[in-house]
Amino acid sequence: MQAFLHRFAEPTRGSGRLSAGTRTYTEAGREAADEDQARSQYAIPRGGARRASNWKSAATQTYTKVSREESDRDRATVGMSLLPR
Amino acid sequence: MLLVLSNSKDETADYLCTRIAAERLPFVRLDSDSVARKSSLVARGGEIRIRLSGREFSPRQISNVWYRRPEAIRVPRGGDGGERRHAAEEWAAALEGFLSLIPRSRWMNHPASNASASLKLEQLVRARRLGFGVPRTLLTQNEGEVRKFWSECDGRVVVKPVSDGRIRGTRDRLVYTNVLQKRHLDSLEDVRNCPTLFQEKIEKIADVRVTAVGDRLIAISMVGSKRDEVDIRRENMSGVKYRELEVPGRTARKLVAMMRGYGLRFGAFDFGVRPDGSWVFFELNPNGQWAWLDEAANARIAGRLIEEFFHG
Repeated sequence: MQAFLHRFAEPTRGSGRLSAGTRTYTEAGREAADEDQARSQYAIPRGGARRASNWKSAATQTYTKVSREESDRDRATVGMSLLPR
Repeated sequence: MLLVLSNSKDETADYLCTRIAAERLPFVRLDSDSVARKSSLVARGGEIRIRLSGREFSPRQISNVWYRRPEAIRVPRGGDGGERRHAAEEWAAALEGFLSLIPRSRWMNHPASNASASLKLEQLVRARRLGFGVPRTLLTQNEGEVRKFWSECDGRVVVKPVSDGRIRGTRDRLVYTNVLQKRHLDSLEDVRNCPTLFQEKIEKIADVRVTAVGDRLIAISMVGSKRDEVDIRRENMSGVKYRELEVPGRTARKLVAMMRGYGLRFGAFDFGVRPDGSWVFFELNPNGQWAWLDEAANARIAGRLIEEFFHG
């Protein structure tokens, strides 16, 4: 799906790292890293279809025993992880 | 003992760890991509210990955690993919058991605090409540609303990501802050597809990055080489002129209040400075980058972090 914002997408220029030889920070070093890490935790689940369907099934109370177990685990861990999964 | 949580490619962690080692201060680094190869955990009789870099630690011995860029745990290759993923989950859960016994006040920052401080729309509401100037803002999927907002702002509008500007794919792309041109108003149909963030374009004479370490604020003004550039990150930030400056007293108090409100010990704030000298709040990055400012502007942030971790 294309969003309006995607019209403005530009190729990235840097590796996102401090280049080892020159010890110079690239633009991407700031751009990429400022935002992404903080959002990876404690957020609305952004996994694939399987996880999404678990959430849906949990909400509608129509899950099977197996999917309920998975949903319970997801619900418990999405809000509590200290490390990215 | 400082525990550095990151990954082995994090050069900002390399940069600070080199400084800490040179000062012979105690730290241990845990990289998410090598922890499964280089460490072991044992929990017995109510005690959890981790063996890392040839030494063994309990959570009680960790005086500070620097939460940098840990990624998903990687386990050594081999065997079934599903089993590897499961083993990685086991590793993560075991490590989290260890980490969860370290009091939250010792984290910079605790991931829960990072997450709560990372939502741009909520930040703007909070900033306004604290008395910061903030740009007029519209998030919408309605084309008519965009045109109305453009008129209200006299045609001075920018469009920017509300989450992260990076689009990952075969070739990564990035969305900066962009000026909304009049021609865009003729075809806004894809605004319907996704909530889109528009803001009044602030007339600014400089950008300011304030890096907060505890209650200490390091403010660096940045002026791009192109006049009227809305996003100075373009062009690899080449030609940007840096200068350290004092944070006005009232702004400093609001920043400290915002940090405390989110439970942060570290934060990177972005402001624009208007021609009349007033500051406009753009956003907060609770785990933002900072080391480039040490290099480009002699900001001495590494020194402030070391003070906070070891002498605070």
